[in-house]
Amino acid sequence: MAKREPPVILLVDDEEMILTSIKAFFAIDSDYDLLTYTSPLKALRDLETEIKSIDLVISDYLMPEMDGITFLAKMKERYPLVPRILLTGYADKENAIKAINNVGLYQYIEKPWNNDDLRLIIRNGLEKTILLKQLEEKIHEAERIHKELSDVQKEILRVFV
Amino acid sequence: MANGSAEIFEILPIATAKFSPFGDLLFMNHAFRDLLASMEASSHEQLLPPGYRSLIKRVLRGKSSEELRSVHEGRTLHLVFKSSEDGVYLFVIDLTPQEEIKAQLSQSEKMASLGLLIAGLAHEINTPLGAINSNNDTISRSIVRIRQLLQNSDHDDASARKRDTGRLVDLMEQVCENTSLATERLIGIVSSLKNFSRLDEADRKEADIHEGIESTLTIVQHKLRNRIRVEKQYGDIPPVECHPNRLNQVFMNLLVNAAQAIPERGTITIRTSRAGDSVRIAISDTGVGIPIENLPKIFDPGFTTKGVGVGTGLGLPICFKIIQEHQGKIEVESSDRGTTFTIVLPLRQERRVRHG
Repeated sequence: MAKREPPVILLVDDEEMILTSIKAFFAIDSDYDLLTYTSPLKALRDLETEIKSIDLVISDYLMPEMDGITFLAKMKERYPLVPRILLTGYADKENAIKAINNVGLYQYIEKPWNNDDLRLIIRNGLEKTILLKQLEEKIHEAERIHKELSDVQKEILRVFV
Repeated sequence: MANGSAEIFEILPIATAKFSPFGDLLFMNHAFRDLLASMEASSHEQLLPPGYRSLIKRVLRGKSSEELRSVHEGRTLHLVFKSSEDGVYLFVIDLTPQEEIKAQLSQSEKMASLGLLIAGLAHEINTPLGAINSNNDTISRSIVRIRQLLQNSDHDDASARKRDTGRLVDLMEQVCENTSLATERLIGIVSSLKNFSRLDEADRKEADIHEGIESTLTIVQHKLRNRIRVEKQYGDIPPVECHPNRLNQVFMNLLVNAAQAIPERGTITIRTSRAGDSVRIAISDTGVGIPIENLPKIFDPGFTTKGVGVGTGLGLPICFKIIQEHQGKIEVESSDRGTTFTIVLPLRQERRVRHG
């Protein structure tokens, strides 16, 4: 198996200071590839053209261009298997519930957050992505083998019957 | 007077009295005596303005009527003088219960806008607080790492150790700068709160209107975000004698309304100018406007089009009341291209006598 690429995390928050804090924390001892954006629209544009693979998405809720729930819904369309996390400073449980129901949120984190919690949630989310990817690979493999076997079976039947 | 009508007046539930053309009391009914008793007033004169005799003569001469408000021992009374053939009737309506309800409503509006304020502030505070909290944690972890690097000096490759330590120091420097930014943000929020709470000082004072607008803008910023551009056209205006806190409440209500009137993106323009002995403050939005049939109702308490949970219908009545208390005027112009509220405030407050 080839050396695994570092997991790609997309982080969107209109406040630069939040991006800087989280980047600095993960710079100490993780190998995550953090893609950070202050603009959800720019993130969506770039995803369209450049970026191919995303393993996890974290988004702020209250942003001027587009709210986090709408952004995560768009991410769900494009990357249905990628876990989506809402990071919000808005003390509003109603929105959290709305998001969890509408967007199929993986987790909801409130600001100010705890770095250990954040890391654990991200780690578990990535594990889920990896497991889903592996499951997908296994299914493909099983299908391939099944097809091979049925081809062999056909061949045997053709030769002997 | 015929006996029949005297009897009707006697049982009428409205406090009623009749005066001679010279202002002498001819009779008072049961309700009037009850009112006096409830106010512990020994004479009807205690309810009346000092110059009431000339008022009665004036009403009688003009065959007219006059109404006035009187505040007596914490009671608000509405006095109606009406001329008749041979004298003047006085009807007294006790407005105290209504006034109490109004005060309660204004209190509940205050609480509602306080709740809104706190929800917005929590959001504004949580962003820099989240950054500071995380930065502090990052610094603690970096320190632990550096200490480990220093202790393991025997085994490690010196140049790798130096490189790792340098990287951690750079990281801490970056995080400290970020913390400074976040701290400045918090200081800004707290200082605007201080300005806002100054409103509770009951005394009138000379205040800078622009300062009030600015501190209110800081507080409503979370509603505007980058969705709405605020254009300020501040004129050269002198300090105004006012209750700065109450005026800030007016600015807040108008700005929040303006923001809610703009569906997506738009502009709020704040213009100030001097006009003789008064200042003009105009707040315009590029919102949907107020339908012409609703314009006469917007200052009525309880009128709202915002729907349950959004509007209490008290925001504009409170603005109206506060501006009235400042002996000023508030006017509205609206079309489908937006709405402008214009406030005119006198520079100095005339001392008023409530009576008569």
